[in-house]
Amino acid sequence: MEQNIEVPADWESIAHLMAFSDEFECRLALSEEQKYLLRLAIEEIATNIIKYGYDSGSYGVIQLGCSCTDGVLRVAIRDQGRPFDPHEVPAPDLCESLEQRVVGGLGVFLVRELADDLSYSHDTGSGWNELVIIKRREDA
Amino acid sequence: MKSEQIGNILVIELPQRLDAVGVSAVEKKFGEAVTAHKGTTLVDMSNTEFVASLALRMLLTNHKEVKRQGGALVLCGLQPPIADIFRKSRFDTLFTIHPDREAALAAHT
Repeated sequence: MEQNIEVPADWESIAHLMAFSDEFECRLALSEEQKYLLRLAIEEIATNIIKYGYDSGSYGVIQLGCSCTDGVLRVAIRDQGRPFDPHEVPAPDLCESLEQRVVGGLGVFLVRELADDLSYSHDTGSGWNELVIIKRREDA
Repeated sequence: MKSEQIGNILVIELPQRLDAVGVSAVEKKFGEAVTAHKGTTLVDMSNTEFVASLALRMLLTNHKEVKRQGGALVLCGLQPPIADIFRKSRFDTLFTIHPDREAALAAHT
């Protein structure tokens, strides 16, 4: 069964989403890798929505839905802000020279790297974006 | 955030969770401490169980800054999931990383 939470798209909500994820982790037997990805997805994706999703001054929400069935963790993050497909984010600069290495741009990249699957959809009628992130247990 | 001076090395212990909340709690103090010290700062991450991109940004920004002053940030005690994040982002090529505090201090003092 999916556990859901809806929060306003503002900085105070990150702590609420993290508390929700802590509680979810306790109830379900997630592997260490699944726990890490759950936190990382909330942190990076929700942060992006707060920063870039909605026009400043306008009220918006973030919905988070989590479920774990047969060892497969499914994290769904929804918002009604600007459409944003993480697949279209260019790969970051992974330059190995400290002087030339650009600070930042790693959030979505790390989620893509750690997840088994990422699917994005935008409903033009309702304006909802949904990003679904999948992480399987290694032994499942 | 705990810090202590051992010889000419400033040792800073980072907290368990370096998510947005954790980073905002330590970012200012961390930056001030490493730039005031100017030399080598050993960042002990053995208690740290979670890092996200904001934490990587904090480390890289300060590393670049102290390098300009002739110093460096040196890391130790990365737990396996953190080491994995460092490998994936190639941060392992930007920092000197030691297995633990003893090894780091032996190499830099």
